Amino acid sequence: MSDPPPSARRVAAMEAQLAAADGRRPAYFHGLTMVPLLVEGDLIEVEPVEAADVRRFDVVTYRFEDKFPTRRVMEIDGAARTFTIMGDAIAGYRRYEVPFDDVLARVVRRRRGDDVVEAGDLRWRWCELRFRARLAVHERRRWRQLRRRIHRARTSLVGRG
Amino acid sequence: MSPLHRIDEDAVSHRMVDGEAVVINLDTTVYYGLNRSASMVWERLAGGPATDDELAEGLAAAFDLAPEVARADVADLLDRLHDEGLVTRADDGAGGAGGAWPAEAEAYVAPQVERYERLEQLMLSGE
Repeated sequence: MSDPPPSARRVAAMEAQLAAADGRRPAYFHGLTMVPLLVEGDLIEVEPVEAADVRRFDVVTYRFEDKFPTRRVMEIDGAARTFTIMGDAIAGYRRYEVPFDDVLARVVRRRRGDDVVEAGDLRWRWCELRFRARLAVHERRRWRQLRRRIHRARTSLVGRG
Repeated sequence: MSPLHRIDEDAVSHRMVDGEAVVINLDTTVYYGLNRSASMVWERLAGGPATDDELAEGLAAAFDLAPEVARADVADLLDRLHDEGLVTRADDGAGGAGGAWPAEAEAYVAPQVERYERLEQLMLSGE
């Protein structure tokens, strides 16, 4: 039996497998961060994508060690060559800064039993709009909290003076 | 006329890592690591179908090998790639893009294909 392979080869093989994740050989989804668009066990089809072709709010897969996180693009920073990426289920609102070169593929279809949804379908778009609306609410709340903090700091300084 | 060989694009996907090809058979999910000389042959095949002679000539030129050594090594490599279902015969069509292979600075090591274990179905993480 062969020795355990160097991890770079294993990861490269997984990336090659990802590039071919189509209807015949889909990948599957694990986790909760893309609910309701993607849930545990969904079968996922992707298309390889160049950074220049990634659009805001695409759902993309990127390399992180030997894993392939799959989330939505929130912002694109061309100068820093990074994407800001978040899950749709944004409890905690955790953001990930992902270098352009680490994004490998875009999700184009998901299957859940007989139910198939393609990128651009009405239900897909609804999940995107829901994400954007929740994000907007979250951003407003964040600004309000920041303004309140600034106000408190000012009041405290004036009080001391 | 020597037969044409081509990568079985329906069954195979590959990536290059530091000049060496990593190839996965998508049907079996077994993956393979090719050493530098085997990777050069693989890259040539990735450009389109090629004959044994064409591949042997390219390898001989790249490593400054005796033609009979290159022919024998290419034949062994192609046998292995066919056995593993990575390469198939291309009975129709012409050879792919030809041209000289770049001279290789590394010392010649005969083509080798290392077989690794099967990969599981790929998981996309939403954790």
